[in-house]
Amino acid sequence: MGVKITIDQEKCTGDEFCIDACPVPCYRIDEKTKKAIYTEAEECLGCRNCEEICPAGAITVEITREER
Amino acid sequence: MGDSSMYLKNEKRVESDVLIIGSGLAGIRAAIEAKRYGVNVLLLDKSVIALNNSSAFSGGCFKVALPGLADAMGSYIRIYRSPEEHFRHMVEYGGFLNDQELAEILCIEGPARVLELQSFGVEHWNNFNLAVPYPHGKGYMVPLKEAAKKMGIKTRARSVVTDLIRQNNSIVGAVGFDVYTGDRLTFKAKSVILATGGGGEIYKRNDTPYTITGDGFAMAFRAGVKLKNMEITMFEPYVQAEPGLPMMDRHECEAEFYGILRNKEGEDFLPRYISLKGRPDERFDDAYGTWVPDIREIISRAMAVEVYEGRGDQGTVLFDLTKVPGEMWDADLASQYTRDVLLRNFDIKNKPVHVFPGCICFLGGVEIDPDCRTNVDGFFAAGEITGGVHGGRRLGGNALTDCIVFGARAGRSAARYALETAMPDNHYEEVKRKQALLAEVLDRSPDQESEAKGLKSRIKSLMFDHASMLRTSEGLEEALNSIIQIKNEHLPRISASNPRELKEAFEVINMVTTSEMVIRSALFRKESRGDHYRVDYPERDDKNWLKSITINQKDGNIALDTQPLSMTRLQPE
Repeated sequence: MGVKITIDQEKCTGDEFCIDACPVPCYRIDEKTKKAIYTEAEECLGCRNCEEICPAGAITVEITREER
Repeated sequence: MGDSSMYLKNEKRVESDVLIIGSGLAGIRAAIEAKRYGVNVLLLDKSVIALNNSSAFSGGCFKVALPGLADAMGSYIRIYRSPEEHFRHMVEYGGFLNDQELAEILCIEGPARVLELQSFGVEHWNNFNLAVPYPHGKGYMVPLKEAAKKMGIKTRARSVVTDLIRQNNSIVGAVGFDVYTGDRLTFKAKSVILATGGGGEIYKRNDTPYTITGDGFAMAFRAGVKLKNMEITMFEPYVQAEPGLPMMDRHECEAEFYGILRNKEGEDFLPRYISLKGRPDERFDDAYGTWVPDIREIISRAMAVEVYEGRGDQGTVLFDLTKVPGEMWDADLASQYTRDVLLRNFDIKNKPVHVFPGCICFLGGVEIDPDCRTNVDGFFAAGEITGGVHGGRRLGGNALTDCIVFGARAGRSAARYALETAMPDNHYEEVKRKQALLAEVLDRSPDQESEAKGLKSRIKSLMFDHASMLRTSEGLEEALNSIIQIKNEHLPRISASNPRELKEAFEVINMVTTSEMVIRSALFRKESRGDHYRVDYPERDDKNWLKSITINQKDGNIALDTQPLSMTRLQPE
């Protein structure tokens, strides 16, 4: 994987901004917890929109590299 | 079943002098220009402001004439020596389908508008060296967003506009809803600018964000705004088609200039479609005497023909970078980022990657005059939503130049119009009628066959299969029948249980209208020109088709017509 997304469930307020910021889209809200879930990881463009937009600062995007 | 009383209960009424729908590059540039005239500006977006649109995810290069830089940049007319050179290339390249007055304005004002970007804090307008690694468009969208904020431009994100409000011959506002709260939204304004971008999402394969669903084309059509050239949709060739990897266009990183397209037999097929100027293993520019963004439609069509004639690999072709000299991979470090992100751990140095074209933009749309006025008073348009600037095909980099040149013009025109116009009287009767449909969709019982998600994917497949790179009358007729069936049988039954589903339902409604406009125009133009390629009429026919196809609304239906082109200066030989 080239992109690793972490959502801090404590910080997430379920305001859905990640859903609106994502161009793919990769996010949805869990019906039970009312917090954001990251899905469709294969389609993630690593654009960091979610990280930049999240008002609670709950999302971290890491670009990982495997040297070959 | 949804419940309209649960979501559309609250109404937010907002007034502004100028209302701008869409916060991509054209919309945000229009907002800045309008604000300079001292008017009250409201900038809307159905997703977030400035960051989730085609401009933000573009290649990040503006095409303009800057003589000093032309020499510094070197080869292959990426930067022109004069606006005249740019203009001539643009019109010849556009197959003379351009509105030449608009093309000339783009070429003359482009350099000034590009240089002006620096005053908004934009450092990289010419991202050939990938100084802004990815998404390149953030290099200008983020500073422009900040500039707009500093100027006091009001913005409203997550505001889905479903219809424009027309009173007599004027657009006086818009109606919609908030996708998070579900509140009804009613906008009233002295003038309105449409800057919603294109409709790449009507195609299964595209490299535009999922927000680009043709909303503006459909809303404009419903409001009686005239459109043209809707048959011209453009396809980017090198869009990834590898299972497990995002569908995004490959970027012209240094190494990728040396990549070779192969069919399943391993043949380097491109020289059969484009004459070689050098050796096939040279850098692309030297091999073909041009750069990829200027021959995208030829490469895309070549790929489609290879697959159509049975030489495809899993319905796609292969992009082979295994012969790229090792040092090239390290020539530009920034491109490593795009490889990390878009290719994950795919071993592109040793294994060809599947690619196939995807829709990159629309070249048809709302007809504008040089001041971005439309056929309806108080209604202006700028950017990809407009038609005519680029004609039949668009030079790489001209889309962004279009957005800043005509964005600024639309902002100025709309502000001046607002300064001379009183706030419209009560327009709420018309608003109520439009809002009734929102409630209706929410109150309908769900019908599995008319589910928005399913309809979306049906539309995307049929449009890509029959109305994309290779078009025939049979295929287009088949697509038209399916679209009409969806329109008549499923749209009246489409339902939603919450505001997010309501947004998707309206996107489907807009995709159907946009698709129908594309198909009917493509069927009508019985020739090939630019990105519109008819297998059954493969030649350009200047005798019969040197004209625009226009669309007007007549009793809710699409009325096609032709009109002469504004060939103010150049004529085909």
